[in-house]
Amino acid sequence: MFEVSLSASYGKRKILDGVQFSLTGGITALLGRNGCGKSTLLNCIAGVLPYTGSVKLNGDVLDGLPARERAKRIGILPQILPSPDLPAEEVVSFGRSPFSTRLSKDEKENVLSVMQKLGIEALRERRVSTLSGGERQKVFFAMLLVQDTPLVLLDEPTTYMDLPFKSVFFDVLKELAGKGKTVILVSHDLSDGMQAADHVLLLEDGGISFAGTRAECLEGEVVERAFGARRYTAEGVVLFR
Amino acid sequence: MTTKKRNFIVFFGAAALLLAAVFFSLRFGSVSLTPDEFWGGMFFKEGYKTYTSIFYSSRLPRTLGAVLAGIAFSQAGTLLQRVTDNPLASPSILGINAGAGFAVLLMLVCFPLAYSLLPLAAFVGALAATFLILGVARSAGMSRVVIVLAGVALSALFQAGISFLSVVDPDALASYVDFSVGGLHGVKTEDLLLPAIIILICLAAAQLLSRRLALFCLGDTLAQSLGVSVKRVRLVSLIAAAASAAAAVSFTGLIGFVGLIVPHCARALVKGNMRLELCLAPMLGASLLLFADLLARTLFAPTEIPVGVFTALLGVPFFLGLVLRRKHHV
Repeated sequence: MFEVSLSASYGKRKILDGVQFSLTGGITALLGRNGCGKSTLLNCIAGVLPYTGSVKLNGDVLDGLPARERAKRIGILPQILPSPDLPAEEVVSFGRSPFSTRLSKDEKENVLSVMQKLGIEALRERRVSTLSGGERQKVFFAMLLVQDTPLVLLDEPTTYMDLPFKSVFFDVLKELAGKGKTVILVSHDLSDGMQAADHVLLLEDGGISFAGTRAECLEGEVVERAFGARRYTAEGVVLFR
Repeated sequence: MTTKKRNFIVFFGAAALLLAAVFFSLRFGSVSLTPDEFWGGMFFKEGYKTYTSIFYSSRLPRTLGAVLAGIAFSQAGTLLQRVTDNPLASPSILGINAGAGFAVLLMLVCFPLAYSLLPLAAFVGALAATFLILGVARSAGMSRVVIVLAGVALSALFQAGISFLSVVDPDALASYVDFSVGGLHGVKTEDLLLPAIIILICLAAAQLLSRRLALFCLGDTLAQSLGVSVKRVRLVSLIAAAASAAAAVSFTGLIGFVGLIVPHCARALVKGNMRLELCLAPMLGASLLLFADLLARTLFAPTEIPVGVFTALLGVPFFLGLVLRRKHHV
Protein backbone atom coordinates (compact mmCIF):
# COMPACT_ATOMS: atom_id res chain seq x y z
CA MET A 1 0.00 0.00 0.00
CA PHE A 2 1.34 3.39 -1.04
CA GLU A 3 -0.20 6.43 0.71
CA VAL A 4 0.42 10.09 -0.01
CA SER A 5 -0.80 13.19 1.81
CA LEU A 6 1.30 16.22 1.02
CA SER A 7 1.57 19.89 0.06
CA ALA A 8 4.42 21.68 -1.68
CA SER A 9 5.26 25.24 -2.68
CA TYR A 10 7.75 27.08 -4.85
CA GLY A 11 8.48 30.11 -2.69
CA LYS A 12 5.12 31.61 -1.82
CA ARG A 13 3.30 29.88 -4.70
CA LYS A 14 1.52 26.76 -3.53
CA ILE A 15 1.75 24.07 -6.22
CA LEU A 16 0.32 21.08 -4.35
CA ASP A 17 -2.29 21.77 -1.69
CA GLY A 18 -3.28 18.70 0.28
CA VAL A 19 -2.76 16.03 -2.40
CA GLN A 20 -4.12 12.76 -0.99
CA PHE A 21 -4.35 9.32 -2.54
CA SER A 22 -3.50 5.71 -1.86
CA LEU A 23 -2.56 2.94 -4.27
CA THR A 24 -2.32 -0.81 -3.87
CA GLY A 25 0.07 -1.66 -6.70
CA GLY A 26 -0.48 -1.76 -10.46
CA ILE A 27 0.10 0.97 -13.02
CA THR A 28 -1.37 4.39 -12.30
CA ALA A 29 -1.54 7.19 -14.85
CA LEU A 30 -1.12 10.60 -13.26
CA LEU A 31 -2.84 13.06 -15.55
CA GLY A 32 -3.22 16.81 -15.50
CA ARG A 33 -2.77 19.88 -17.61
CA ASN A 34 0.65 21.47 -18.19
CA GLY A 35 2.01 23.13 -15.08
CA CYS A 36 -0.50 21.53 -12.69
CA GLY A 37 2.30 20.02 -10.58
CA LYS A 38 2.62 16.41 -11.82
CA SER A 39 6.43 16.49 -11.95
CA THR A 40 6.55 18.36 -8.64
CA LEU A 41 4.43 15.61 -7.06
CA LEU A 42 6.74 12.86 -8.37
CA ASN A 43 9.83 14.75 -7.19
CA CYS A 44 8.31 15.25 -3.73
CA ILE A 45 7.50 11.55 -3.48
CA ALA A 46 11.07 10.71 -4.55
CA GLY A 47 12.41 13.05 -1.85
CA VAL A 48 14.06 15.35 -4.37
CA LEU A 49 11.88 18.37 -3.52
CA PRO A 50 10.82 19.47 -0.03
CA TYR A 51 7.19 19.06 1.04
CA THR A 52 4.97 19.03 4.11
CA GLY A 53 2.84 16.01 4.91
CA SER A 54 3.68 12.35 4.65
CA VAL A 55 4.53 9.59 2.20
CA LYS A 56 4.08 5.99 3.36
CA LEU A 57 5.01 2.80 1.61
CA ASN A 58 3.82 -0.54 3.01
CA GLY A 59 3.27 1.08 6.40
CA ASP A 60 6.74 2.69 6.58
CA VAL A 61 6.83 6.48 6.84
CA LEU A 62 9.42 7.66 4.29
CA ASP A 63 9.61 11.33 5.36
CA GLY A 64 12.96 12.18 6.89
CA LEU A 65 14.53 8.86 5.86
CA PRO A 66 18.17 9.18 4.74
CA ALA A 67 18.42 9.59 0.96
CA ARG A 68 19.96 6.15 0.59
CA GLU A 69 17.12 4.39 2.44
CA ARG A 70 14.55 6.24 0.36
CA ALA A 71 16.42 5.29 -2.80
CA LYS A 72 16.06 1.62 -1.89
CA ARG A 73 12.28 2.06 -2.00
CA ILE A 74 11.63 4.66 -4.71
CA GLY A 75 13.12 4.99 -8.18
CA ILE A 76 12.39 7.85 -10.57
CA LEU A 77 12.92 8.47 -14.27
CA PRO A 78 12.92 12.29 -14.53
CA GLN A 79 11.53 14.19 -17.47
CA ILE A 80 14.83 15.94 -18.21
CA LEU A 81 17.70 13.51 -18.56
CA PRO A 82 21.41 14.30 -18.27
CA SER A 83 24.10 13.44 -20.83
CA PRO A 84 27.04 12.18 -18.77
CA ASP A 85 30.27 11.47 -20.60
CA LEU A 86 30.26 7.89 -19.35
CA PRO A 87 29.65 4.49 -20.98
CA ALA A 88 25.97 3.47 -20.99
CA GLU A 89 26.71 0.28 -19.04
CA GLU A 90 28.29 2.25 -16.21
CA VAL A 91 25.30 4.59 -16.04
CA VAL A 92 22.90 1.63 -15.93
CA SER A 93 24.95 0.07 -13.12
CA PHE A 94 24.56 3.30 -11.08
CA GLY A 95 21.08 1.93 -10.36
CA ARG A 96 22.63 -0.39 -7.78
CA SER A 97 24.41 2.41 -5.90
CA PRO A 98 21.83 2.64 -3.06
CA PHE A 99 22.41 -1.05 -2.35
CA SER A 100 26.07 -1.81 -2.86
CA THR A 101 29.38 0.00 -3.15
CA ARG A 102 30.83 -2.58 -5.52
CA LEU A 103 28.73 -4.59 -7.93
CA SER A 104 28.56 -8.33 -7.29
CA LYS A 105 28.80 -10.82 -10.15
CA ASP A 106 25.01 -11.31 -10.02
CA GLU A 107 24.42 -7.57 -10.14
CA LYS A 108 26.73 -7.22 -13.15
CA GLU A 109 24.86 -10.01 -14.92
CA ASN A 110 21.57 -8.32 -14.06
CA VAL A 111 22.79 -5.03 -15.60
CA LEU A 112 23.59 -6.88 -18.80
CA SER A 113 20.34 -8.83 -18.88
CA VAL A 114 18.26 -5.67 -18.35
CA MET A 115 20.13 -3.98 -21.22
CA GLN A 116 19.49 -7.03 -23.41
CA LYS A 117 15.82 -7.03 -22.46
CA LEU A 118 15.48 -3.41 -23.60
CA GLY A 119 17.53 -4.08 -26.73
CA ILE A 120 20.36 -1.70 -25.83
CA GLU A 121 23.23 -4.13 -25.23
CA ALA A 122 24.95 -2.71 -28.33
CA LEU A 123 25.15 0.65 -26.55
CA ARG A 124 27.16 -0.75 -23.60
CA GLU A 125 30.44 0.95 -24.48
CA ARG A 126 28.88 4.06 -26.04
CA ARG A 127 29.12 7.28 -24.06
CA VAL A 128 25.70 8.53 -23.02
CA SER A 129 26.67 12.03 -24.21
CA THR A 130 26.79 10.68 -27.78
CA LEU A 131 23.37 8.94 -27.69
CA SER A 132 20.09 10.17 -29.17
CA GLY A 133 17.23 11.30 -26.92
CA GLY A 134 15.40 7.98 -27.34
CA GLU A 135 18.53 5.93 -26.63
CA ARG A 136 19.23 7.98 -23.52
CA GLN A 137 15.68 7.40 -22.31
CA LYS A 138 16.23 3.66 -22.71
CA VAL A 139 19.53 3.78 -20.81
CA PHE A 140 18.00 5.62 -17.86
CA PHE A 141 14.93 3.34 -17.92
CA ALA A 142 17.37 0.42 -17.71
CA MET A 143 19.03 2.11 -14.72
CA LEU A 144 15.64 2.39 -13.04
CA LEU A 145 14.96 -1.32 -13.63
CA VAL A 146 18.34 -2.21 -12.17
CA GLN A 147 17.50 -0.09 -9.10
CA ASP A 148 14.55 -2.49 -8.67
CA THR A 149 12.47 -0.50 -6.17
CA PRO A 150 8.92 -1.34 -5.01
CA LEU A 151 7.72 2.09 -6.15
CA VAL A 152 8.57 3.25 -9.69
CA LEU A 153 7.96 6.85 -10.82
CA LEU A 154 8.09 7.71 -14.51
CA ASP A 155 7.89 11.32 -15.68
CA GLU A 156 7.05 11.54 -19.38
CA PRO A 157 8.95 8.33 -20.15
CA THR A 158 7.66 7.93 -23.70
CA THR A 159 8.60 11.38 -25.04
CA TYR A 160 11.40 10.18 -27.35
CA MET A 161 10.43 6.52 -27.69
CA ASP A 162 9.73 5.05 -31.10
CA LEU A 163 6.69 2.80 -31.61
CA PRO A 164 8.49 -0.59 -31.47
CA PHE A 165 10.13 0.33 -28.16
CA LYS A 166 6.88 1.67 -26.70
CA SER A 167 5.42 -1.80 -26.94
CA VAL A 168 8.47 -3.29 -25.12
CA PHE A 169 8.23 -0.50 -22.55
CA PHE A 170 4.56 -1.11 -21.72
CA ASP A 171 5.18 -4.88 -21.52
CA VAL A 172 7.95 -4.24 -18.98
CA LEU A 173 5.64 -1.96 -16.96
CA LYS A 174 2.97 -4.68 -16.88
CA GLU A 175 5.63 -7.16 -15.78
CA LEU A 176 6.64 -4.83 -12.93
CA ALA A 177 3.00 -4.43 -11.87
CA GLY A 178 2.64 -8.22 -12.02
CA LYS A 179 5.51 -8.52 -9.51
CA GLY A 180 3.52 -6.35 -7.06
CA LYS A 181 5.34 -3.09 -7.71
CA THR A 182 3.52 0.24 -7.81
CA VAL A 183 4.15 2.21 -11.00
CA ILE A 184 3.11 5.85 -11.41
CA LEU A 185 3.30 7.18 -14.93
CA VAL A 186 3.04 10.80 -15.99
CA SER A 187 2.43 11.27 -19.68
CA HIS A 188 1.40 14.26 -21.74
CA ASP A 189 0.19 11.74 -24.31
CA LEU A 190 -3.21 10.72 -22.98
CA SER A 191 -3.39 7.70 -25.26
CA ASP A 192 -0.07 6.39 -23.87
CA GLY A 193 -1.10 7.02 -20.29
CA MET A 194 -4.53 5.48 -20.62
CA GLN A 195 -3.41 2.40 -22.54
CA ALA A 196 -1.18 1.06 -19.82
CA ALA A 197 -2.96 2.27 -16.71
CA ASP A 198 -4.99 0.20 -14.26
CA HIS A 199 -5.80 3.33 -12.27
CA VAL A 200 -6.02 7.03 -13.06
CA LEU A 201 -5.31 10.03 -10.87
CA LEU A 202 -6.24 13.48 -12.12
CA LEU A 203 -4.34 16.42 -10.67
CA GLU A 204 -6.24 19.72 -10.84
CA ASP A 205 -5.89 22.97 -8.88
CA GLY A 206 -3.23 21.53 -6.59
CA GLY A 207 -5.26 18.47 -5.56
CA ILE A 208 -6.53 15.12 -6.81
CA SER A 209 -9.87 15.75 -8.53
CA PHE A 210 -10.40 12.18 -9.66
CA ALA A 211 -9.06 8.81 -8.49
CA GLY A 212 -10.43 5.58 -9.90
CA THR A 213 -9.95 2.78 -12.35
CA ARG A 214 -9.36 3.40 -16.01
CA ALA A 215 -12.87 2.17 -16.83
CA GLU A 216 -14.41 4.58 -14.29
CA CYS A 217 -12.36 7.38 -15.76
CA LEU A 218 -13.51 6.65 -19.29
CA GLU A 219 -17.14 6.03 -18.34
CA GLY A 220 -17.32 9.26 -16.41
CA GLU A 221 -15.68 11.15 -19.25
CA VAL A 222 -13.31 12.70 -16.71
CA VAL A 223 -10.54 13.21 -19.19
CA GLU A 224 -12.82 14.89 -21.71
CA ARG A 225 -13.99 17.26 -18.99
CA ALA A 226 -10.51 18.01 -17.69
CA PHE A 227 -8.71 18.38 -21.00
CA GLY A 228 -11.46 19.18 -23.48
CA ALA A 229 -10.18 16.16 -25.44
CA ARG A 230 -12.46 13.94 -27.48
CA ARG A 231 -12.27 10.20 -26.94
CA TYR A 232 -12.59 7.77 -29.82
CA THR A 233 -11.72 4.16 -30.34
CA ALA A 234 -9.60 2.70 -33.10
CA GLU A 235 -9.37 -1.08 -33.22
CA GLY A 236 -9.96 -1.47 -29.51
CA VAL A 237 -7.45 1.20 -28.49
CA VAL A 238 -8.72 4.28 -26.71
CA LEU A 239 -7.31 7.41 -28.28
CA PHE A 240 -7.73 11.10 -27.64
CA ARG A 241 -7.49 14.13 -29.82
CA MET B 1 42.99 -2.43 -24.01
CA THR B 2 40.46 -2.94 -21.19
CA THR B 3 39.50 0.05 -19.06
CA LYS B 4 40.89 -1.68 -15.96
CA LYS B 5 44.29 -2.23 -17.56
CA ARG B 6 44.36 1.31 -18.92
CA ASN B 7 43.50 2.79 -15.51
CA PHE B 8 46.23 0.64 -13.91
CA ILE B 9 48.82 1.97 -16.37
CA VAL B 10 47.63 5.58 -15.94
CA PHE B 11 47.77 5.35 -12.13
CA PHE B 12 51.29 3.89 -11.98
CA GLY B 13 52.44 6.23 -14.76
CA ALA B 14 51.28 9.22 -12.69
CA ALA B 15 52.93 7.80 -9.56
CA ALA B 16 56.21 7.36 -11.48
CA LEU B 17 55.94 10.90 -12.84
CA LEU B 18 55.44 12.27 -9.32
CA LEU B 19 58.44 10.35 -7.97
CA ALA B 20 60.57 11.61 -10.85
CA ALA B 21 59.36 15.18 -10.24
CA VAL B 22 60.21 14.91 -6.52
CA PHE B 23 63.70 13.59 -7.35
CA PHE B 24 64.42 16.32 -9.90
CA SER B 25 63.08 19.00 -7.55
CA LEU B 26 65.46 17.82 -4.81
CA ARG B 27 68.38 17.18 -7.12
CA PHE B 28 68.46 20.41 -9.11
CA GLY B 29 68.22 24.06 -8.14
CA SER B 30 69.75 27.47 -8.59
CA VAL B 31 72.98 26.09 -7.06
CA SER B 32 74.23 23.11 -9.06
CA LEU B 33 75.46 20.19 -6.97
CA THR B 34 77.53 17.22 -8.09
CA PRO B 35 76.01 13.80 -7.31
CA ASP B 36 78.52 13.42 -4.49
CA GLU B 37 77.58 16.78 -2.96
CA PHE B 38 73.87 16.00 -3.34
CA TRP B 39 73.96 12.57 -1.64
CA GLY B 40 76.52 13.75 0.92
CA GLY B 41 74.31 16.71 1.82
CA MET B 42 71.21 14.57 2.08
CA PHE B 43 72.84 12.00 4.42
CA PHE B 44 74.64 14.55 6.66
CA LYS B 45 78.09 13.41 5.50
CA GLU B 46 80.93 15.07 7.35
CA GLY B 47 82.35 18.06 5.47
CA TYR B 48 79.14 18.54 3.48
CA LYS B 49 77.45 20.91 5.91
CA THR B 50 76.80 23.55 3.23
CA TYR B 51 75.07 21.01 1.00
CA THR B 52 73.08 19.62 3.93
CA SER B 53 71.91 23.14 4.59
CA ILE B 54 70.94 23.66 0.92
CA PHE B 55 69.08 20.36 0.92
CA TYR B 56 67.18 20.71 4.20
CA SER B 57 66.67 24.48 4.32
CA SER B 58 65.82 25.14 0.70
CA ARG B 59 65.14 22.18 -1.56
CA LEU B 60 63.25 19.88 0.79
CA PRO B 61 60.79 22.56 2.05
CA ARG B 62 60.25 23.78 -1.52
CA THR B 63 59.63 20.26 -2.75
CA LEU B 64 57.25 19.44 0.10
CA GLY B 65 55.50 22.77 -0.41
CA ALA B 66 55.05 22.14 -4.14
CA VAL B 67 53.71 18.63 -3.49
CA LEU B 68 51.24 19.84 -0.87
CA ALA B 69 50.09 22.87 -2.90
CA GLY B 70 49.75 20.77 -6.07
CA ILE B 71 47.64 18.24 -4.18
CA ALA B 72 45.54 20.97 -2.57
CA PHE B 73 44.78 23.06 -5.68
CA SER B 74 44.05 20.10 -7.95
CA GLN B 75 41.83 18.23 -5.50
CA ALA B 76 39.97 21.47 -4.74
CA GLY B 77 39.44 22.01 -8.48
CA THR B 78 38.27 18.42 -8.96
CA LEU B 79 35.75 18.70 -6.13
CA LEU B 80 34.51 22.09 -7.28
CA GLN B 81 34.11 21.12 -10.93
CA ARG B 82 32.21 18.02 -9.87
CA VAL B 83 29.77 19.50 -7.35
CA THR B 84 29.05 22.65 -9.37
CA ASP B 85 29.00 20.71 -12.65
CA ASN B 86 30.98 23.59 -14.09
CA PRO B 87 34.13 22.88 -16.13
CA LEU B 88 35.43 26.40 -15.42
CA ALA B 89 35.21 26.01 -11.64
CA SER B 90 38.46 26.41 -9.73
CA PRO B 91 39.29 27.56 -6.17
CA SER B 92 38.91 31.18 -7.29
CA ILE B 93 35.12 30.76 -7.74
CA LEU B 94 34.85 30.15 -4.01
CA GLY B 95 36.52 33.48 -3.40
CA ILE B 96 39.73 31.80 -2.19
CA ASN B 97 42.06 34.09 -4.12
CA ALA B 98 40.10 37.30 -3.63
CA GLY B 99 39.44 36.60 0.07
CA ALA B 100 43.05 35.66 0.79
CA GLY B 101 44.36 38.62 -1.22
CA PHE B 102 42.09 41.10 0.56
CA ALA B 103 42.99 39.75 4.02
CA VAL B 104 46.74 39.86 3.26
CA LEU B 105 46.55 43.41 1.96
CA LEU B 106 44.43 44.49 4.93
CA MET B 107 47.01 42.98 7.27
CA LEU B 108 49.82 44.80 5.43
CA VAL B 109 47.94 48.09 5.68
CA CYS B 110 47.06 47.71 9.39
CA PHE B 111 50.25 45.94 10.59
CA PRO B 112 52.97 46.65 8.01
CA LEU B 113 55.64 44.71 9.90
CA ALA B 114 53.66 41.60 10.83
CA TYR B 115 55.02 39.47 7.98
CA SER B 116 54.85 36.30 10.06
CA LEU B 117 51.06 36.67 10.33
CA LEU B 118 50.49 36.87 6.57
CA PRO B 119 49.98 33.09 6.05
CA LEU B 120 47.37 33.11 8.81
CA ALA B 121 45.68 36.15 7.28
CA ALA B 122 45.61 34.45 3.88
CA PHE B 123 44.10 31.28 5.35
CA VAL B 124 41.48 33.11 7.41
CA GLY B 125 40.62 35.48 4.52
CA ALA B 126 40.20 32.62 2.05
CA LEU B 127 37.99 30.61 4.41
CA ALA B 128 35.95 33.65 5.46
CA ALA B 129 35.22 34.50 1.82
CA THR B 130 34.20 30.91 1.16
CA PHE B 131 31.85 30.75 4.14
CA LEU B 132 30.29 34.04 3.08
CA ILE B 133 29.66 32.63 -0.40
CA LEU B 134 28.35 29.34 1.02
CA GLY B 135 26.07 31.27 3.39
CA VAL B 136 24.48 33.05 0.42
CA ALA B 137 24.28 29.82 -1.58
CA ARG B 138 22.81 27.88 1.32
CA SER B 139 19.95 30.31 1.73
CA ALA B 140 19.11 29.56 -1.92
CA GLY B 141 19.14 25.78 -1.46
CA MET B 142 22.82 25.17 -2.41
CA SER B 143 22.00 25.36 -6.10
CA ARG B 144 25.00 25.04 -8.42
CA VAL B 145 24.19 28.25 -10.27
CA VAL B 146 23.81 30.29 -7.08
CA ILE B 147 27.18 29.03 -5.77
CA VAL B 148 28.94 30.18 -8.94
CA LEU B 149 27.10 33.52 -9.15
CA ALA B 150 27.61 34.27 -5.44
CA GLY B 151 31.31 33.39 -5.88
CA VAL B 152 31.72 35.75 -8.84
CA ALA B 153 29.82 38.59 -7.11
CA LEU B 154 31.59 38.37 -3.74
CA SER B 155 35.00 37.91 -5.40
CA ALA B 156 34.33 41.14 -7.28
CA LEU B 157 33.55 42.81 -3.96
CA PHE B 158 36.87 41.62 -2.46
CA GLN B 159 38.70 42.75 -5.59
CA ALA B 160 37.12 46.18 -5.14
CA GLY B 161 38.41 46.14 -1.54
CA ILE B 162 41.91 45.24 -2.81
CA SER B 163 41.80 48.14 -5.27
CA PHE B 164 40.66 50.52 -2.53
CA LEU B 165 43.37 49.43 -0.06
CA SER B 166 46.06 49.64 -2.72
CA VAL B 167 45.15 53.30 -3.32
CA VAL B 168 44.98 54.04 0.42
CA ASP B 169 48.42 52.53 1.13
CA PRO B 170 50.68 52.17 -1.94
CA ASP B 171 53.56 50.91 0.27
CA ALA B 172 51.53 47.90 1.34
CA LEU B 173 50.76 47.20 -2.31
CA ALA B 174 54.45 46.62 -3.04
CA SER B 175 54.58 43.81 -0.46
CA TYR B 176 51.22 42.49 -1.65
CA VAL B 177 52.50 41.99 -5.21
CA ASP B 178 54.88 39.31 -3.90
CA PHE B 179 51.91 37.42 -2.45
CA SER B 180 49.68 37.92 -5.49
CA VAL B 181 52.31 36.56 -7.90
CA GLY B 182 52.70 33.44 -5.76
CA GLY B 183 55.63 31.06 -5.47
CA LEU B 184 57.47 28.67 -3.22
CA HIS B 185 60.53 30.73 -2.33
CA GLY B 186 61.09 31.15 1.38
CA VAL B 187 58.86 28.21 2.35
CA LYS B 188 60.00 26.60 5.62
CA THR B 189 59.34 23.01 6.64
CA GLU B 190 57.91 24.01 10.01
CA ASP B 191 55.36 26.29 8.29
CA LEU B 192 54.04 23.34 6.33
CA LEU B 193 52.90 21.16 9.23
CA LEU B 194 49.46 22.68 9.81
CA PRO B 195 48.63 23.11 6.09
CA ALA B 196 49.78 19.51 5.51
CA ILE B 197 47.39 18.20 8.17
CA ILE B 198 44.48 20.19 6.70
CA ILE B 199 45.27 19.16 3.11
CA LEU B 200 45.63 15.48 3.98
CA ILE B 201 42.38 15.44 5.99
CA CYS B 202 40.60 17.00 3.00
CA LEU B 203 42.24 14.43 0.71
CA ALA B 204 40.85 11.62 2.87
CA ALA B 205 37.39 13.28 2.97
CA ALA B 206 37.37 13.55 -0.83
CA GLN B 207 38.22 9.85 -1.13
CA LEU B 208 35.40 8.94 1.26
CA LEU B 209 32.96 10.99 -0.84
CA SER B 210 34.17 9.68 -4.20
CA ARG B 211 31.38 7.14 -4.76
CA ARG B 212 28.73 9.77 -4.07
CA LEU B 213 30.54 12.42 -6.11
CA ALA B 214 30.52 10.08 -9.12
CA LEU B 215 26.70 10.38 -9.22
CA PHE B 216 26.76 14.19 -9.46
CA CYS B 217 27.28 13.89 -13.22
CA LEU B 218 23.65 12.69 -13.41
CA GLY B 219 22.29 15.98 -12.03
CA ASP B 220 20.74 16.69 -8.65
CA THR B 221 17.43 14.85 -9.21
CA LEU B 222 18.93 11.52 -10.24
CA ALA B 223 21.81 11.73 -7.75
CA GLN B 224 19.33 12.31 -4.92
CA SER B 225 17.03 9.55 -6.16
CA LEU B 226 20.01 7.18 -6.18
CA GLY B 227 20.65 7.82 -2.51
CA VAL B 228 23.03 10.80 -2.45
CA SER B 229 22.19 13.51 0.04
CA VAL B 230 23.01 16.12 -2.59
CA LYS B 231 23.00 19.27 -0.45
CA ARG B 232 25.07 17.72 2.33
CA VAL B 233 27.67 16.16 0.01
CA ARG B 234 27.92 19.44 -1.93
CA LEU B 235 28.45 21.44 1.26
CA VAL B 236 31.08 19.03 2.66
CA SER B 237 32.90 18.94 -0.69
CA LEU B 238 32.94 22.73 -0.95
CA ILE B 239 34.28 23.07 2.59
CA ALA B 240 36.97 20.44 1.89
CA ALA B 241 37.91 22.21 -1.35
CA ALA B 242 38.03 25.60 0.34
CA ALA B 243 40.01 24.41 3.36
CA SER B 244 42.66 22.63 1.31
CA ALA B 245 43.05 25.50 -1.19
CA ALA B 246 43.13 28.07 1.65
CA ALA B 247 45.80 26.02 3.44
CA ALA B 248 47.91 26.01 0.27
CA VAL B 249 47.39 29.71 -0.47
CA SER B 250 48.64 30.50 3.03
CA PHE B 251 52.20 29.42 2.12
CA THR B 252 52.32 29.78 -1.69
CA GLY B 253 50.37 32.96 -2.35
CA LEU B 254 48.08 33.08 -5.35
CA ILE B 255 49.12 30.39 -7.81
CA GLY B 256 46.36 30.06 -10.35
CA PHE B 257 45.65 27.59 -13.12
CA VAL B 258 46.62 24.29 -11.40
CA GLY B 259 43.12 23.92 -9.93
CA LEU B 260 41.53 24.61 -13.30
CA ILE B 261 43.40 22.39 -15.76
CA VAL B 262 44.67 19.44 -13.73
CA PRO B 263 41.14 18.11 -12.95
CA HIS B 264 40.38 18.12 -16.69
CA CYS B 265 43.56 16.20 -17.44
CA ALA B 266 42.81 13.62 -14.73
CA ARG B 267 39.24 13.19 -15.93
CA ALA B 268 40.29 12.71 -19.54
CA LEU B 269 42.87 10.09 -18.54
CA VAL B 270 40.68 7.91 -16.29
CA LYS B 271 37.38 8.26 -18.12
CA GLY B 272 34.78 8.55 -15.43
CA ASN B 273 36.31 6.57 -12.54
CA MET B 274 35.74 9.10 -9.75
CA ARG B 275 37.85 7.41 -7.07
CA LEU B 276 40.81 7.15 -9.44
CA GLU B 277 40.22 10.72 -10.66
CA LEU B 278 40.49 11.94 -7.07
CA CYS B 279 43.83 10.05 -6.70
CA LEU B 280 45.19 11.02 -10.06
CA ALA B 281 44.44 14.77 -9.95
CA PRO B 282 46.54 15.37 -6.79
CA MET B 283 49.45 13.35 -8.24
CA LEU B 284 49.34 15.27 -11.53
CA GLY B 285 48.89 18.59 -9.72
CA ALA B 286 51.90 17.93 -7.50
CA SER B 287 54.01 16.85 -10.51
CA LEU B 288 53.01 19.94 -12.51
CA LEU B 289 53.85 22.31 -9.67
CA LEU B 290 57.17 20.53 -8.96
CA PHE B 291 58.34 20.78 -12.58
CA ALA B 292 57.04 24.37 -12.89
CA ASP B 293 58.85 25.39 -9.70
CA LEU B 294 62.03 23.64 -10.86
CA LEU B 295 61.99 25.63 -14.10
CA ALA B 296 61.07 28.84 -12.26
CA ARG B 297 64.16 28.67 -10.04
CA THR B 298 66.71 27.16 -12.42
CA LEU B 299 66.04 28.51 -15.91
CA PHE B 300 67.23 32.08 -15.26
CA ALA B 301 69.03 31.44 -11.94
CA PRO B 302 69.70 33.30 -9.75
CA THR B 303 66.66 35.29 -10.95
CA GLU B 304 63.42 33.49 -10.13
CA ILE B 305 60.51 33.61 -12.58
CA PRO B 306 56.94 33.43 -11.14
CA VAL B 307 55.92 29.77 -10.97
CA GLY B 308 52.52 30.57 -12.53
CA VAL B 309 54.29 31.29 -15.83
CA PHE B 310 55.55 27.72 -15.98
CA THR B 311 52.38 25.99 -14.71
CA ALA B 312 50.72 27.66 -17.72
CA LEU B 313 53.55 26.86 -20.16
CA LEU B 314 53.67 23.19 -19.11
CA GLY B 315 49.96 22.68 -18.49
CA VAL B 316 48.33 24.45 -21.41
CA PRO B 317 49.77 22.35 -24.28
CA PHE B 318 48.90 19.13 -22.44
CA PHE B 319 45.45 20.44 -21.60
CA LEU B 320 44.70 21.66 -25.14
CA GLY B 321 45.97 18.35 -26.54
CA LEU B 322 43.47 16.46 -24.40
CA VAL B 323 40.61 18.79 -25.29
CA LEU B 324 41.29 18.52 -29.02
CA ARG B 325 41.72 14.75 -28.87
CA ARG B 326 38.43 14.41 -27.03
CA LYS B 327 36.63 16.57 -29.58
CA HIS B 328 38.09 14.46 -32.35
CA HIS B 329 36.73 11.28 -30.69
CA VAL B 330 33.19 12.68 -30.38
